[in-house]
Amino acid sequence: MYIAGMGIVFSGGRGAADFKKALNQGWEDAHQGKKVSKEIISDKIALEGARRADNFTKMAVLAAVDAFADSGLGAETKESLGIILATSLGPHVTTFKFLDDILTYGDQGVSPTLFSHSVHNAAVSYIALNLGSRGPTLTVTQFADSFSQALFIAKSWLQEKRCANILVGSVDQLGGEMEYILTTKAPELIPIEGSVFFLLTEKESANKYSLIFSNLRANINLNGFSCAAQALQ
Amino acid sequence: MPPVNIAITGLGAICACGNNIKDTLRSFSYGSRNAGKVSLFESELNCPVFQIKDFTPLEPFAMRTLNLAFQAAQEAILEAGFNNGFGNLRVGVCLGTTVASQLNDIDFYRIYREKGSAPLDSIDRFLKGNLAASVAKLLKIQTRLCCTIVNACSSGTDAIGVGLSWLRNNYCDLVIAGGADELNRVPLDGFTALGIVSQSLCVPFDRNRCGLNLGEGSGIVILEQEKMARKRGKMPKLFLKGYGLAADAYHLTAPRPDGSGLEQALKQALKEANILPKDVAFVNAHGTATKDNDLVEGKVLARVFGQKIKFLSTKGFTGHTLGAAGGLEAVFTCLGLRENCVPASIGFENMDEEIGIAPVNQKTEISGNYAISTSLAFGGNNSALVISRN
Amino acid sequence: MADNKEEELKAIRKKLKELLVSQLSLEGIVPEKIKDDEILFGEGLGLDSLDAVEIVVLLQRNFAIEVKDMSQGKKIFYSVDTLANYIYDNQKK
Repeated sequence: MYIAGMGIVFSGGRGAADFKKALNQGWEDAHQGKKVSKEIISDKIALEGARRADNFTKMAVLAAVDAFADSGLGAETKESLGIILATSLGPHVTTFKFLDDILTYGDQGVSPTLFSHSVHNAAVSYIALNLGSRGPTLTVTQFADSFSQALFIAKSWLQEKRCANILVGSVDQLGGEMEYILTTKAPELIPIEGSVFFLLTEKESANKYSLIFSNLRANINLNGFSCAAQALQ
Repeated sequence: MPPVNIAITGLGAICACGNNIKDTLRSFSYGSRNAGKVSLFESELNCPVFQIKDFTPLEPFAMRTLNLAFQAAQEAILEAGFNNGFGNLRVGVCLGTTVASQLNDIDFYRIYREKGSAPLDSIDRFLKGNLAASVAKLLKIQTRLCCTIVNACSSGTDAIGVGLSWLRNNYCDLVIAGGADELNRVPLDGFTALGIVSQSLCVPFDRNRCGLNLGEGSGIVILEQEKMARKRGKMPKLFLKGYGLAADAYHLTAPRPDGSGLEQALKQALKEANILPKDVAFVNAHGTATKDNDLVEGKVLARVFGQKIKFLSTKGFTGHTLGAAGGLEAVFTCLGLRENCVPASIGFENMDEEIGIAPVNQKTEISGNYAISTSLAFGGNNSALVISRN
Repeated sequence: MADNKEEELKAIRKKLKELLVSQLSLEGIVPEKIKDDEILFGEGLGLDSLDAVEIVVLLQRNFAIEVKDMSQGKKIFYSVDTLANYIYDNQKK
């Protein structure tokens, strides 16, 4: 599968230029455990229709629409796009806020908006809405292996011609509760907060980057950021 | 790609109707609706839920959802003839869920918010509990193909669809696919806050419907290439012929009013199966009993299949089991073809003129070799499976 | 008495506008600029079905009002004015 476009949102900024700058500065150490600021995900135009969205969704939407824009594909291709989102931990910040609601207001006083956004596939729903995509959409979660699994499915969908182009990405947050849990219990699972999306195609002529996704079975625990780093070499 | 016949060689189910398929079919024939106030956890809410009673988890320290999936998987594996293991076969595990993917342990959070730290024993169950990976581990399956689908209410259907893709692309020889979900305070409170939970037993597609009842369970199918099944002496009777998946791109919680997403998913599935709408013997509909879902879905079924289509919702028997729904309903669709009949769409009494068609309201014989299971998810995902019999 | 009622309604409308903006994430909208007769759904503020159920929670938490019958929702939630009057009437009970 070839990368026709890429979008990145992370604590150091948004887009390939910011990411390349961070790579040159040794980005993993610099950005491990750092949060994506409000300023980075404030984009009224790109996030139109997402006023209620939580930061998890906003990061995913921005990375996905940036990947599409980067690909140069025409607007007519949006409707048939496939979208697969991979996440290790899901929108847990929102889930904990919802638990907070239950404890503060009781079972009958909780926010339906919070609940709706605690459902893992809310982010993909916003991406589809933003782009007007009516193609196949999926959200997967497999802790460290989520992104690899998403790539497997993307490859099979392209081969089956379920769609001709597919947005595949990852998004994760690191809220206070999860940071506490993972630092104590499973430091190997601590994600880098942010989102990376690739627009993938089987058309070699559309290839824009140094990384080609092949031999997926041999590569385990791929993550969006390490793939983005390879793609920009 | 050359066409490959994918057989369904094993079925497993656990839900409020019964802890296995035999008991579930018995509940269907008696019209038993085993619902009541939730007792699995404390709740101020009195709405009926379809909770599984008399369930002894095989792994006491694991999440309930994992145990439900494990139980259903074992039943399916036994039927498929793999009780002694899978030998050298390449096995994939693809399961859908909503609850098991969330860290929603309220007791942990209650202490944490007060003290800034909390005991982490229950967190272990989450961290070790990724559904597909954990089921694979319990079944002693070493595999790279292991995926947990979190597509809200269509997760189970989509997990089966992904399994179909894996097999068609020869990523593996066999797939354990379906879904599982346990009753949990988060969705119970959340759906209630959305105003779509009924305070009485749900009545899918009925004129007086006023919301869903939540339920729990697991539905699992074993998928393998027909030629592989025959090679090991099995003569498959059921096949997975098609899968369709399409997004509404409309709203976070409401379905697209014109139903075009569901229509697209159905047409894709029919095209893959190489059949026409008239070839479909019955549809196991999503039928949650909410005003919106049943209206949209009912009208689409009428439009695509005509006024005479036989259809039903089994959610009157099981409740809405979220991530498990697609898995359970695929199993029930298989059972309908196998038993040559479908149960009543329990709870239904009065046709909604706005929908214009009515589900079957008694046990109904079916004729024809194809059936469909549909799912419509929060976030606007629409999925359909075509299942056939010999 | 009439002055009292109007004073109270004015206070309710002010609080309501602030709550609508903050609780429904109405970015870029200034509470003071929302008209009293602003229509809430469809046109006007452009709220949708998810906002409607969120307003039910807003009423519960901030005014101790339970909306028992959502079929009355269309009337009650028509505009800032109708919602403010509903709050006024139900708070008095």
